[in-house]
Amino acid sequence: MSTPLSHLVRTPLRRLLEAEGAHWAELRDAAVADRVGQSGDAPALGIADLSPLPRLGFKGRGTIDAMKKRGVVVEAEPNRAFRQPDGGLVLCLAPGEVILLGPLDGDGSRLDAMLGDWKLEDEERTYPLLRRDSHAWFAVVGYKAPEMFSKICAVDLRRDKFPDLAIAQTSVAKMSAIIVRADSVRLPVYHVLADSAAALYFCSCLTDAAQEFGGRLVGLHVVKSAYADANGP
Amino acid sequence: MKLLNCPLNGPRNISEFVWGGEVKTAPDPATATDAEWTGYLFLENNVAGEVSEWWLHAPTNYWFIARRNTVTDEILETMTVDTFFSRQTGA
Repeated sequence: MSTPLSHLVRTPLRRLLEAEGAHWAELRDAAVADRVGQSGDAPALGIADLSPLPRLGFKGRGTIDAMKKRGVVVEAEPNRAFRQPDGGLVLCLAPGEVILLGPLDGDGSRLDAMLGDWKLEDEERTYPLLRRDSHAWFAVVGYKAPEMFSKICAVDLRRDKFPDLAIAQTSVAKMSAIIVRADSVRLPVYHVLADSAAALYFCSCLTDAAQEFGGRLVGLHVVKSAYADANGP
Repeated sequence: MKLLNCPLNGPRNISEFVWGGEVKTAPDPATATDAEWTGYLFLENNVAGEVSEWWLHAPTNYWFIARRNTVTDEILETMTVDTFFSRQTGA
């Protein structure tokens, strides 16, 4: 069985998830918590740690053009996300900044190639940012998510106010965070990126806020099954 | 909670922002005296009235300019850096 210790890339929540009885699944270069706890049923509100999944950022005035040249589906519309054909998600944070979230099957080959092929000498006015190192990645799944966020975030994330694929870069539980709504076919899903160094604190704030709605930590399979037959966001 | 309108992210709680000081013209570092350079770095004019200030939206690390009345603490308008300096030069 794969465990986080089999790999050099580990989620910052490894010890917490192990204590919660996580069952790990193998990704290419990391282990992800596929199931957490004994109950296999998805709760009304699930918080999944997707930190081991691949992601990458680019920044600079030439970023959007450079991304389009590489076949990324994205426009220069700050605070809007774009679904990718491979199941990934691209977040346009500013006219010159994007974050690319890999598909839920953990295939990071496309992002690895983008990072490997980047050269300063190309003078594209964009440079890569290793968002897998800097940011922890959570998915909050369930209809109660907006109510839960209202306890720890000032931006109105109700589904009639915060449309699908909208992004809020704001303060959540006193920490800077990026929230993107990317609904699945079955359930509302909010992806949250926050400083990986404080991931444990951030996770405790999310689970504390979720408790009154019956929320708890879940594994990747809950997020995957929410997206049902689709491969990702 | 006071709100500040970020040109990139829209209205947000003032607690998400960091004040960056008055907009000042930098002296030429090659010819400035120590006193001039110290004044530029550390001293504010503290005008009682309308001022232009740097503000940072911390979650996005986004700098912009706000016009603020320091007597009433009212934010008059916010704008991108490009807009502010194109107004200054009359472009």
